[in-house]
Amino acid sequence: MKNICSALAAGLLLLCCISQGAAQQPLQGLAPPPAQNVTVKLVANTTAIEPGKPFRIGADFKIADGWHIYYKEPGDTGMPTNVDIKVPHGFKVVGVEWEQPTRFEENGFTTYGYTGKTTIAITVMPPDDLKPDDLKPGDTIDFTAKITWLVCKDSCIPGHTTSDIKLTVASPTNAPSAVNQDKFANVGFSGDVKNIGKSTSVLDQDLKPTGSDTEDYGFLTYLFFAFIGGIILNAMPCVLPVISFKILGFVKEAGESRATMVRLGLSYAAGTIATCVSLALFVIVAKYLGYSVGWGFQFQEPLFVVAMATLLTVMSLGLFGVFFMQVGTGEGLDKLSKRKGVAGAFFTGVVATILSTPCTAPFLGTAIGFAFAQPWWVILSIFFMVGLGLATPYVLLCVNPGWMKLLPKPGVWMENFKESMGFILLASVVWLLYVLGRQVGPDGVAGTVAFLLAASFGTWLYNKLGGLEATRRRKAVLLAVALAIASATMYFVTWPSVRGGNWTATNAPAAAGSVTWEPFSKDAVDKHLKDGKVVFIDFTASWCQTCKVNEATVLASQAVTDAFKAKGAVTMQADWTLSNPEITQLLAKFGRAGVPLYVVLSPHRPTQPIVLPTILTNQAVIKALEDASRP
Amino acid sequence: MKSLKLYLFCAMAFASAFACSILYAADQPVKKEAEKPVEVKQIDDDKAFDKELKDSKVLVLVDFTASWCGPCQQLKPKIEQLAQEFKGKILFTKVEETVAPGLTQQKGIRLWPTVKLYAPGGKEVSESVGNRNIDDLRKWLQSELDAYNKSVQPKQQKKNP
Repeated sequence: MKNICSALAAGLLLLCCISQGAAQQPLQGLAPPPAQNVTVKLVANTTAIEPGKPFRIGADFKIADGWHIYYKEPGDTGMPTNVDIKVPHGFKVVGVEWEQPTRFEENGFTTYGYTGKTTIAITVMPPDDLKPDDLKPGDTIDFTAKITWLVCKDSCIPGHTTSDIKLTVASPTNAPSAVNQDKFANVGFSGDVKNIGKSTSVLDQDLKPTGSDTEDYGFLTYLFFAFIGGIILNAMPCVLPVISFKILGFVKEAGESRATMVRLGLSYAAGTIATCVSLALFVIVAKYLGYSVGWGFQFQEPLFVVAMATLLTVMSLGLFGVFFMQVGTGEGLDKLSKRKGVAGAFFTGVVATILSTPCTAPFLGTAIGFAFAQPWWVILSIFFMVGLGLATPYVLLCVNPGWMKLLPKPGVWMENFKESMGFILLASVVWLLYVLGRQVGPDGVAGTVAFLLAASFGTWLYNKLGGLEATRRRKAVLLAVALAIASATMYFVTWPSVRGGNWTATNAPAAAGSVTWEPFSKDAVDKHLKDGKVVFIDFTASWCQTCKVNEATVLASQAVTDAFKAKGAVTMQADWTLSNPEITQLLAKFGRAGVPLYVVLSPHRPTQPIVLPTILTNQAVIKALEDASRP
Repeated sequence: MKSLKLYLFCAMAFASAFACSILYAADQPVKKEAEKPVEVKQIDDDKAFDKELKDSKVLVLVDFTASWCGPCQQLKPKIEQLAQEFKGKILFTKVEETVAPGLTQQKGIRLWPTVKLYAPGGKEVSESVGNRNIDDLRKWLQSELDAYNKSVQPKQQKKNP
């Protein structure tokens, strides 16, 4: 009996305690949410508080399957989760950090939040003069938080609760130890939702490039750079396809009067400048429409390459004598011929400029890179200066043709020379086909060659059978036939092979040597930097001749490959042969609008990449690698 | 003979043009009606709420919705669609939490979206919670409508004789 009584008493006591515990819970006007979709409790990352040492209190959420709560920026809809913590006098809340939220797409609504479990961490700074002595042993400091949230699945339930946590103050007998590490492990995000999903790659951060051409100059300086760059562009590898025009131009003019030569020189300049200005206008419009373009962008379009190859092929036929191409010999005095000469010089300027754009030169890259990020009038003036620079050496030679006296007198040799220039044009076509091969694969190249053949045949047909004595009607028929052949080939063979092919452009490492070139990706860059490796990035394109020269002479050289190996550097190639907005953006980040660009990233200072000069030297590469590997 | 053929052709062409225009004209009014969809009326306070329920001759649907609630936004077009289908049989209304927080609290809305059906006069008949698919919602409304009509008809029959 006694036992029963005591058991009853104990039971009652227990009941009493429970009810008391329940009464302590703040009972507010609203009952708890209908379903326990969210449970939350406060946790701390330490067992005891130390004076002046910040610690974290976390709101530890557990969310039912399929349901989610929201980040502080919920997105198109939803409500931010909120933790309103009350700290005792003297304590300060110094920061709130979240886990990186997940992006949800719900029928056209984008929201940001969490599923499963998450922690919102509040960093609390205790006062410096927190004295455990003032507190009796076992006394605690109480932190209370009012937590509100919205949890959604097929419906939403707003929820709220009040939770508290009691922490002791550290003392010699109560040393603090770290706890709940796992709960705080993923905390560390408090930024803009725009940064979610995108990798927080080193290359997405604010970079402070050092090294060549990375300073900010004034507008006039950039104009000057554009001009100088334009002049130097004449001496870049792109000169190869253009050289024939230029030499031929001079040869043509060898016998002309000075006035004619000046006129021709100026029309050449007009051609280069007009082309540059057209390019600038194109860039301005493209920028306005939101496309990302860069220097030499037209070569990223395979059809443009096809068009250039066709143009050069047909021109070479002209040089071979399939049709009569304006070569001023003696008839220069004739007015009509003069006018034709002016048009020819203008056209030469246009083609020379277009073919120069896959190259970039020292100063030029800097100026163009600056221009692309500027308003339209800056783009226009910079491009104008490039055109002017391109034309300058030619104009100077025309105005001051002292050296032309060195040329032999006009004669049969000129015809031979002209024909040999035709082969140089064909060599340029070979180069264009190589570029095309990189872009659209072997089928596209075959299709293009077929079109070149058709265009050549058409040209031959029209000029051979429709000579001077042919009637107008015959000429018209021949022209129609020639055009029909060319269009049919384009429609049935070339277009499908260039456009329809499912060739994925792969730029096999161009730089030979025993160094492996990885394809560029931001993730890979981050990974290698994390592994403590120096990363060398080669921004290149198949049509970029400056790139090809740098790769062949410097990057594949023994000294540089040895240096790559000695420093354990990872070499990567970012291929811009075809349009690639990500690479265009990255180039812009380095103040460039085109390739080549060489960047060395240091694992020790990842946000301070070293930019190498446009024209590479062994020394520059080796020095940058050394600088980058120095801690 | 030739002129007859021509005449026939002209007549047929004219007839078909005429037929087309008639068909087109017949089509027009239907189109015009379709252009005026039934709107889901928004109720902004409890007075308006009580008045709607009191004045209505048919079942009243109230979509308790909120701008911060994703599923509510997804439900919205379905409710609008059903408003067309049950035109004249059920009055479609909605209460926006951010506009009338007091009203939603008074009606004890805890899950969003909640769609409630009231009989004319204000008696709550049924409710549906969450962003359900439109077929389920249609079935639900139809069955509630049938049940309501059954409950009303006997009374009317008694009154009639």
